[in-house]
Amino acid sequence: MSAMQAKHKTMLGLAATAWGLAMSLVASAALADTDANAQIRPSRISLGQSAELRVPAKSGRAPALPQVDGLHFQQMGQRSEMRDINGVVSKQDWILYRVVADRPGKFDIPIGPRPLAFEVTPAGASTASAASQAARPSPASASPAQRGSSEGPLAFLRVRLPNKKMFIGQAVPVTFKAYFRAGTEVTLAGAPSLGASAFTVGNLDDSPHQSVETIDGVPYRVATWTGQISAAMSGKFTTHATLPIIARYRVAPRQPAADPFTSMFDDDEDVFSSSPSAMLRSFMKHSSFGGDLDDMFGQVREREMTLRARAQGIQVQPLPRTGQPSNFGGAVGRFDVRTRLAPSTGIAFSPMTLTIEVSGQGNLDRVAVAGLPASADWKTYPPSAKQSAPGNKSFEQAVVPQRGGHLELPAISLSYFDPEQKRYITRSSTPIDVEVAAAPTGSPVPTFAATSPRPVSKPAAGLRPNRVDEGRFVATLLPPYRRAWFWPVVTAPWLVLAAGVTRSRVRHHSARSHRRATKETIDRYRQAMKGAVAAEDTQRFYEAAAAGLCIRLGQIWHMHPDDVTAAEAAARLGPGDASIVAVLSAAEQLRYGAAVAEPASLAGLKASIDQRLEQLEVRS
Amino acid sequence: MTDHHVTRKGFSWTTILARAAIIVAVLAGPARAAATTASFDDANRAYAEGHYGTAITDFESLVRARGWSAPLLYDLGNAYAQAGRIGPAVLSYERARVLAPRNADVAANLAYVRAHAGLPSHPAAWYQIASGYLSVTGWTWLAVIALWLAAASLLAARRWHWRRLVHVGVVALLLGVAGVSAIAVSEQGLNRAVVVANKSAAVRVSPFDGALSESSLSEGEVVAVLGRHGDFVHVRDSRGRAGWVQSSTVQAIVPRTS
Repeated sequence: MSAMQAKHKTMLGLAATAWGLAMSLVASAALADTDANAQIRPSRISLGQSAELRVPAKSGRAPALPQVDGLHFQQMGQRSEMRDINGVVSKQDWILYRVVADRPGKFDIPIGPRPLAFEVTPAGASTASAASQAARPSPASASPAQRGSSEGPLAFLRVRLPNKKMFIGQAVPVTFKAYFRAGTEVTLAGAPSLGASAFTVGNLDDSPHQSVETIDGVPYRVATWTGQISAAMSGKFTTHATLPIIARYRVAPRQPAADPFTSMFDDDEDVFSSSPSAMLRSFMKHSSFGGDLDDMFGQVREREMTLRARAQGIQVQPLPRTGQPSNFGGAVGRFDVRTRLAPSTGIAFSPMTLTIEVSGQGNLDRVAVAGLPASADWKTYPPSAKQSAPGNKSFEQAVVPQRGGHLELPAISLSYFDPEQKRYITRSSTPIDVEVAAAPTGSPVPTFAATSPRPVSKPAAGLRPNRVDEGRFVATLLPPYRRAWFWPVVTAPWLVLAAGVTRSRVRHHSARSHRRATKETIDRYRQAMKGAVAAEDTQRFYEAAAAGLCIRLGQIWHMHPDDVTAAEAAARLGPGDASIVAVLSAAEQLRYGAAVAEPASLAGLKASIDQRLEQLEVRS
Repeated sequence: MTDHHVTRKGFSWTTILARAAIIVAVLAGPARAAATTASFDDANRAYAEGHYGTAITDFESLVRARGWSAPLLYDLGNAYAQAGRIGPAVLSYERARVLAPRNADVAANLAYVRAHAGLPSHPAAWYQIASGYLSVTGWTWLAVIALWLAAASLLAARRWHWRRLVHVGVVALLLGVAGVSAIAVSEQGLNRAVVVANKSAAVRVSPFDGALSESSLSEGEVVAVLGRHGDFVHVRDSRGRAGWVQSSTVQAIVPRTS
């Protein structure tokens, strides 16, 4: 049993050893097979795209590639891989190529023991994805196979303008097409520009449409932008369209001039861009892309450049003055205007939204509408432009019905200039009939003032509506009596009145005192007259009588008693007062020493003067 | 004589300048009003379109530019209420009530906002209702005019012995007394403030940051201002509780420097 077991063990050991040897041989064969085969990924691309070809390097050098009609190979670099198979570590070097195609079709690449199958589908099938990758670098430098047979520029820019004559404000379509020969590695550094300050470029695509075109048998990748240009002024102008790009190229380490563009253009970008065709031909001949394979492992450099299109002349005409409608706002093109109201039924004093939609062809940026004017039925606010779809521009206007009932929203008019018909056209929307319910009874119209307008907005969430009348503004909420000016203003009239009363009282008191003193003085002179009559002293009588009369008359005439003379009295008094004038005249004569005639009766004269003094006292 | 001429000439120039100022004011007034009317419309349009933040900004700028008006404060209160800012909404309504105490919309929206925010409401006493018949400014001028009329009537009656003027004077005197009484009642309401702090404001026992907080005031609550100390205001709420709150958490209904 043990001998049998030992024999079986020996056989199993031999079988295991044989299996192991067999597997080792299979693995070695498989490894050798893998090392020898080239690979292409992906095996199917769209025209304009590229694939990666991996070819095993031999003695560290790239193998010679076969020429395949319709395919171009562009060396990308080298890659090394370390493998560990059954404990055996090996190194594999790969040469990497980028493969681009001139045309769609099925290709067999005769490399290695078996040809590699490769298929290129038409570009239309991959347009969308290509366009989305427009900003990515294009395929790099041309392959050695292409270099010898390539003709024409590497890149150039074209601008297509269907109209060379246009009106101010007219929107004219424009197409920028940038051509990059297959194999050039270029990154777009910006959007194309028309290069004329009189024009504005609008609606330009953010991402260009990418396609492939063949010109004179040379395939080009084409980036296309479409947009509109509009002129802001009239006259003749010349466009100088440009497109900034970034070109990538490799610099061979063994070349004395590391930067091929340095020797070509002396760092003068304008020289590069002034003649793109000639320049790019020179670029093709002098750049490192035309060198040997050893040069391909050099340094990658980038350079900013500008493509310039051929100059074109455009004539811009001003808009005609004749026939221009009063509501023309600068719109040029062909438009239609429609309105809609939301909600379709309203409530008095509740805001509604009037949407004015302008659609058509033309420069919508210049389209502006005045909106619905305010009326007795509608309170309106200025319209505001809203985001719109291409070829459409809408405005929203808040309108507030001012009463309930059946209201009509008038038509909205839009005037524009039609550049094709060369005349102004006015379009109007259809009037809108709207049923407006009365304002809720629970929300009466606020009454800040008797003449105040009605509210603008509907009570939202239980709030009563806003007011549209500003009301009377005040500088402060403080009551008047807390302000500095209040008390002086209020008390000043009182103080003035009190001062006036006091002054009047003082004056009244003074006048009364004066009158009393005057009367006392006159009474004293009358007593003196009485004494003179008793003593029959004529001179003393005249002096006393004249003094009393002068005081009284001076009081009446607002004169000093000394200024009252016989002549003054004669001039002021009438003939009935001749006795008074005579007394004054006699007193003056006596004062100067002259003799006077004796009166018939001093007592009679005294009685007459007393009576006259009493009369004059009443007048005073 | 020369002095007399100088005086007449100076008076003449003063008159000319005064008249020129009046003309300029008259001419500039409508332009200024027209310029700000657009802003008021813009604010109302923003409110109507639901842009309450924009409406608040526009209304506030109008207040800064032109001052206060009852409709403006009412609209501002509506905008704050729609924006969910109860404190400033109540403050604006209360300020609108100072200028238009009998306005039904201000009262309705103030009551709505207060009820919506759960703020306590207390029925007003009869004299408070009566004093709200006119604004404080209205009562003030009524009292001034009535007292002037009373004084003038009584003086004239004494001077010219016209007995009917005595009756006029007595009636005017009663009106004046009523006006002064209403001012006294309204004066209590002028020393009030509204809590504008977000959500609530802490009420402290003393005017210091580290003081014990004994209670809190809700946003939008109206308090009576009892005094000030530093950055704190001594207030008493509607339940009679007094304490100190940060001055930034309350705003006077009638600003001292408005």
